[in-house]
Amino acid sequence: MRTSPARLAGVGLFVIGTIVLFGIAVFLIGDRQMAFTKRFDIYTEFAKVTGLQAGAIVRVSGARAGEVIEITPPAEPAGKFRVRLRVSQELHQLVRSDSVASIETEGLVGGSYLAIAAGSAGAAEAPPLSTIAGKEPFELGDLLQQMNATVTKVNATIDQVSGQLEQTITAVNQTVVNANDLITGVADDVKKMAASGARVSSDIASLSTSVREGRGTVGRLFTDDTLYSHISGIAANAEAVTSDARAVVAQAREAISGVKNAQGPMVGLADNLRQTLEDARDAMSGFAENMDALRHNFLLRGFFNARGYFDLAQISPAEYRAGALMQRGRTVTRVWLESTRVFDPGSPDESPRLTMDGRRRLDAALAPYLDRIADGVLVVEGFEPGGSRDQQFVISRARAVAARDYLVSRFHLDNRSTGVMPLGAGPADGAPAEPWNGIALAFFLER
Amino acid sequence: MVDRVGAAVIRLFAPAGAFALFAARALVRPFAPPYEGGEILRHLFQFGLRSTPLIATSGLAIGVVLSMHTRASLERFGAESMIPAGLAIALIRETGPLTAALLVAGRVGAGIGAELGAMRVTEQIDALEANAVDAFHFLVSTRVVACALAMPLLTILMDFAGMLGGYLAEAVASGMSWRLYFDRSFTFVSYADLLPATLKTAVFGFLIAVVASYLGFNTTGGTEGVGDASTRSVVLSSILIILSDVILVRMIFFFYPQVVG
Repeated sequence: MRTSPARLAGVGLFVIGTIVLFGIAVFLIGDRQMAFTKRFDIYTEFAKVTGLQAGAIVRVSGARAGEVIEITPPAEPAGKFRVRLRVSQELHQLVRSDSVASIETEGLVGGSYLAIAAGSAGAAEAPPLSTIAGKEPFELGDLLQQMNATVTKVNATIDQVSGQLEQTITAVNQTVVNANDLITGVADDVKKMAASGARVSSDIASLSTSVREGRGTVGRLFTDDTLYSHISGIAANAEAVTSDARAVVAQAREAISGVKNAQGPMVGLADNLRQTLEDARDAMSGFAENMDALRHNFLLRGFFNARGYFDLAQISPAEYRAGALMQRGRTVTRVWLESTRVFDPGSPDESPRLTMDGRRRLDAALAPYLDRIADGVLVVEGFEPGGSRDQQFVISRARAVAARDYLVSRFHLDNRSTGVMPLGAGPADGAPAEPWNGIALAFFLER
Repeated sequence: MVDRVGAAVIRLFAPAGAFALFAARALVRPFAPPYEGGEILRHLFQFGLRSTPLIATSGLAIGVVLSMHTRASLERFGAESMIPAGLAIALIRETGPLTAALLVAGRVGAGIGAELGAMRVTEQIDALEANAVDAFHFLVSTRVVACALAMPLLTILMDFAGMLGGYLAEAVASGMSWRLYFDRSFTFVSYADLLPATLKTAVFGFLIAVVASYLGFNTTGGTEGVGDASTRSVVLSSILIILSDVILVRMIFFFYPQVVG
């Protein structure tokens, strides 16, 4: 049977159309796998790899940068897994000798990827086939174990402190009872001494009167045994009372000293409290680190994102351009600032300095949004149309960072909701000129 | 007794042997001339182009439904951003190829079974052979080749229609832009996912055409037999597609070990 031209055209359209779709899929996959970009190899090491596999994604400062090529197991138990990475040459300037690699979680069933933090500006670029440091991976199980240990330790300390506190209170009570008993015992002696003293005074007054009136003789006074015995008794009583009082004071001082000394319950209690506070501080520090790690965990990242704890550093320029921050009913408003009006033309491109006029312009640009910025997100976008792609990236990022740092310092903005986005040569939709050379303050505000 | 057991064994395995020989012949014969390009194009038009509305509509609906189900599951973990990637993986690796094959088995398998069955009971096949035309080559080989060629193309269409449906559902639910959606869709898809999964559908196409042709070619019992051949073509080819998929997936995992992340 002869095939009509219309049918032939239909078949041709069908075949070519589906092949074009297939080509698009092949291109998109190749683009995501960076099959068409120049790359370099580098190594890192970990004591445990936590599910990291060959073929896993590598991100540099949040931007997709390559993949894990191979993982070589250690030769001995104390050794480390050696991980070989293939990273895009476009991001080589961010991978410095002091960059740190870490294993993070992403994917439907907790698939792992390898994140490389950008190194410091002062460090040299990590040469191909060199080894950068690896930060041991965090696991949810470790956090739970640490939390459990912390709670157990705090419970034990509280039990110990409460026991010692009880002992201290008992000791203080006992001291008070002893002191009370002693004071009660001394009271009778003091009363007797006071009464005796009064009688002596009376006797002396009577004697003086008798002498003054000329009754009896002075010799009789000195030879009268009764009077002498009476005075001696009073002296002995006074001495005993003084001795008892001294003993009471010594006992009280000893009791207080016992409470205060290095082995006493009070110091022990203070030591325990200090130790508890230090332990709690350590635990909170570890907990804070783990909470930070938890924020990046696949299972809980959405929970933190929903509460505004998203990490701007995790958004790549491609995702940003595609509208990663435009969800949840946000609107974006941009203020465009030209490079020559903001930065000192004499400063190096890779570390631009803001001029006084530039600072005033940034202040003026931010001022209308100050009362709403707390609920939104500010992203300083950097643009640089000239040079190669890596130069565009570095310069546009440096510009954005300079402006962001100034605004954060000047207005005490929240670092978590104030980010930078190096957009290189653009596109700069809505800019006064295209391509744009400078920066833009993008305010993502709730509708 | 022995005779009865032997007869039962023969009754059980003879059709399987006949089908295996028929399939082997269908696999080898297309490579010998004449190549019957016109017939192949005609069948490609019937099996391929005429199946596109069914495949595109089904793919779109499957994408919407999968997206809604995936959203309901991933929302609990705050992982809505993974919906495009999850959907793309599911569609490209398995849902797209298998669903397209089953739909084609229903539409094309029944058609081939009925058409060849009718030709057999009306003695058209006998007439072709009486005119020295290789009926097997003219009727079966051309259909097998066209079906094996059409299946991967229809699968690609199904994959993209499914992703488009997923995007529509996601755009309504979260307002995600199409650019971000398709960017995220291919986050975890690799060539190891796309190529084997798409190419394996050529095997599905071969099975559909061979099963339907075999049953149509051997139809007996008049018009009732034609209906029976049509129904059995759909049932048998669907079962063989699912069973062969198990083996093919196992082979793909052997040659392309799966990587997470």
